[in-house]
Amino acid sequence: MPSIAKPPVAHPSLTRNELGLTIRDYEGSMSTLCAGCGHDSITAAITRALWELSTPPHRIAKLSGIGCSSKTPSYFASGAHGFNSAHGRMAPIATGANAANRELTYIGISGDGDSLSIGLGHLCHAMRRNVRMLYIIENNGVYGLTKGQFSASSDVGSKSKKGEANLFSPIDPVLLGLSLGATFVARGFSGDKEQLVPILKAGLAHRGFALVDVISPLRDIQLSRRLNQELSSHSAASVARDGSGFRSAGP
Amino acid sequence: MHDGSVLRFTRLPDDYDVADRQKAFAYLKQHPNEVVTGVLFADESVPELHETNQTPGTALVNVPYERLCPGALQLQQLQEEFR
Repeated sequence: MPSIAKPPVAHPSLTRNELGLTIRDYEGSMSTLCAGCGHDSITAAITRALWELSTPPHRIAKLSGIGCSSKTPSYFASGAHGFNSAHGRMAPIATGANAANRELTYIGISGDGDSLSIGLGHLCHAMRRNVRMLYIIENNGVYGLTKGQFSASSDVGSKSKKGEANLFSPIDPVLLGLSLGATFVARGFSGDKEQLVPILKAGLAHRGFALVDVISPLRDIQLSRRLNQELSSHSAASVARDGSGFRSAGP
Repeated sequence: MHDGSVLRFTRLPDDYDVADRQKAFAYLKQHPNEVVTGVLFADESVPELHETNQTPGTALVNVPYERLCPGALQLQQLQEEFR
C-alpha cells in the first residue's frame, strides 16, 4: 500500500522548538499498521524526542530492515534521509553509512524477527564496533506481518492464535546487549510514553551504540481485522460513538 | 495478552546506578517475572567506531578528492612499505 501524506496544516498555537519547528514538522506519512498497534505509539515517542532535542530533520538518517517495525520510519521525520534495507541487514547498512558520514544522527528501527533471527549476527557486530546510532527493537514477540508465527523473543509456552504453544526459549536483547558490551542498554514499553521519550532522548544523545528494546505487544490480529472491517463499512465517527475504542486506541 | 498471559512492567528506581554493568545483570536476575524498563546501563568511556578507526572528523563527501584518493604513486609507496 502506498504511503498516504498527511495534510501539511499545523495549528498556529503549536509550540515551536529551538529551530522554530512544530512537532508536525517531525511527522511522516499516515501509518498503515493495524489500528491500535504499539509500534505507532513508539513512532509518536520518536517524533516527540526528535522535536524536543531540536534535531534538524535533514540531519537525520533513518534505516530499517523488513517487518511491521521496519515500515515505521515512513511515519516520522519525512524530511530525513531514509533507507529500507533487506531483512536483518539494517545494522551493516547503518554501519557503512555512518562510516561515510559521521555528521548525521542515525536511527535504526528493527523488530524482534529482523534483529534476533536473521539479523542477529549483524546486531552483535554493530554493538561490538560501537557504531554511534540509536538502535530500536520494536519487540512484539511475533512475526506480525506474516500473520503470527513465533519469533525468537516469544516466551516459552505462549500460544499462537491457533492455540499452539511455543517450545523454544526466547532471546532477550537486553541481556544480549549487556553480555556483548553494548555501551547503552535500555528497555521501554510502547504504552509508557512518559518514560519512553526520555529513554529515546538519552539514546540519541549517547556517544556510541544505543540499544533500546521497546516491548510493543501485538494487538490481536483478528480484532484488528474486525475493526478495520467496521471502519470500512461505517464512518469513523459512528465507530467512535459505538464504543469500540477504535479512535481512542489510535496513535 | 491475547492468550490470557500477563506482562508486569516495573520501572527502574530513581537511585539505580546506570554505570555498573554487573549490577544491571544482578537487578534483572532479582526481578525474573517482571519486565524491567528504563536505562539499565550507559558508558561513554568506550571509543566509538570512528575513534577506534581514527577516521576523518568530517563526512567523506567533505574530504578533498586529493586526500580521499591520493593516486597511484602514493599507493605504490604504501605497497613498498609492506615488501
